[in-house]
Amino acid sequence: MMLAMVSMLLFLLHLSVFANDVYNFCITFHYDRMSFRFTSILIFSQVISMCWAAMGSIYAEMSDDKFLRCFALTILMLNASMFFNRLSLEFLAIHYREEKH
Amino acid sequence: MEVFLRADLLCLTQTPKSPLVCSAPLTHGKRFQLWSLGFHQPERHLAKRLKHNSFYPFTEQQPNVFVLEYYLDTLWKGTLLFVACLVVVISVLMNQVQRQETWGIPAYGVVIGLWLMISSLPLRRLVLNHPHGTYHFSIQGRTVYQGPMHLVYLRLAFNSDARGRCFFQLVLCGYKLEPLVLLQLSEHYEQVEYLGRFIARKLNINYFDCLAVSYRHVVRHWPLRTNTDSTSIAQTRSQTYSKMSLNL
Repeated sequence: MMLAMVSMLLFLLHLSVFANDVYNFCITFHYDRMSFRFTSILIFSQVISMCWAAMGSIYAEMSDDKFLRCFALTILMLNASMFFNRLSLEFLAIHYREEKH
Repeated sequence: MEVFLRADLLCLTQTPKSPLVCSAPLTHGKRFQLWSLGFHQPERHLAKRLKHNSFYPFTEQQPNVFVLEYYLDTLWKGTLLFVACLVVVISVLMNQVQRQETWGIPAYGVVIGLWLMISSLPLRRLVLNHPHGTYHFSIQGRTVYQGPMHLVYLRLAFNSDARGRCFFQLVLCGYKLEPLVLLQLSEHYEQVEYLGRFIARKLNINYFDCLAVSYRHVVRHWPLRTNTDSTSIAQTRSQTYSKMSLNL
């Protein structure tokens, strides 16, 4: 239960960062306000969140609580989709990162 | 070598019992005795501890009342992780890598270490009360669960590595209890089984073998038959004899 809750909080955090990035990338074109300095932390954090969601889902499957099982599986799927969304955005925005000479 | 060790273990039964120390205050050193398990020859380590205190890891406060106060071993693991990651965070903050903020990765370690430390700081207390027929588990004075004696047991757990080598460990577990490993990763089945049966006999609790269905179980307390409904009795039995969950 604790693992699924922490994973949900991390998912909401990543979702807000992702929304901010998409807004700056597609709508306002302010590329310097995107989260390029934190890419390594963000990817690491999303992987950790997905692992915790998977662990929480395993523990939820062991207990016979239907609500807990559905909740943990939902959080796991949301985290996985967020991870792939983040990867796609990073590949799309790879030419807009800081210039290096 | 194995025969010699068996004789050494057998002399556990022949040493005279020390006179009971009534209501002695539990020393602080005993709270950490579950932390050191002995890597080389863990059976000899456990046998030595049983020689000093035949009700290891419990202490007998009154006749047939056993008390165990302990801190979880995640206390030192969490502290170590916290300190190590804090050092890494401070050193990473000094120099950046390719204009990336990389302090976030050890920051996770700091948070996890802090969480492990804080969750293991409260003192755990397990009391086996045979005259009442109940056991009582509390964390820092707050009762977690109090239940009948047949829900606490000593289990011989079985692990095998990829090559097929078998490793055995003794785990004291129960319903709503934290599993406590008394003997870690031994390859000698007979010695581990002997020690497990010895401890279970001294503490007067159930002892279960590594297999779910086995003739080597020793059941001293059976689940109570409150009603004549056979399905509920079968459910109680399957809950009692279900496989234990190894701690992470």
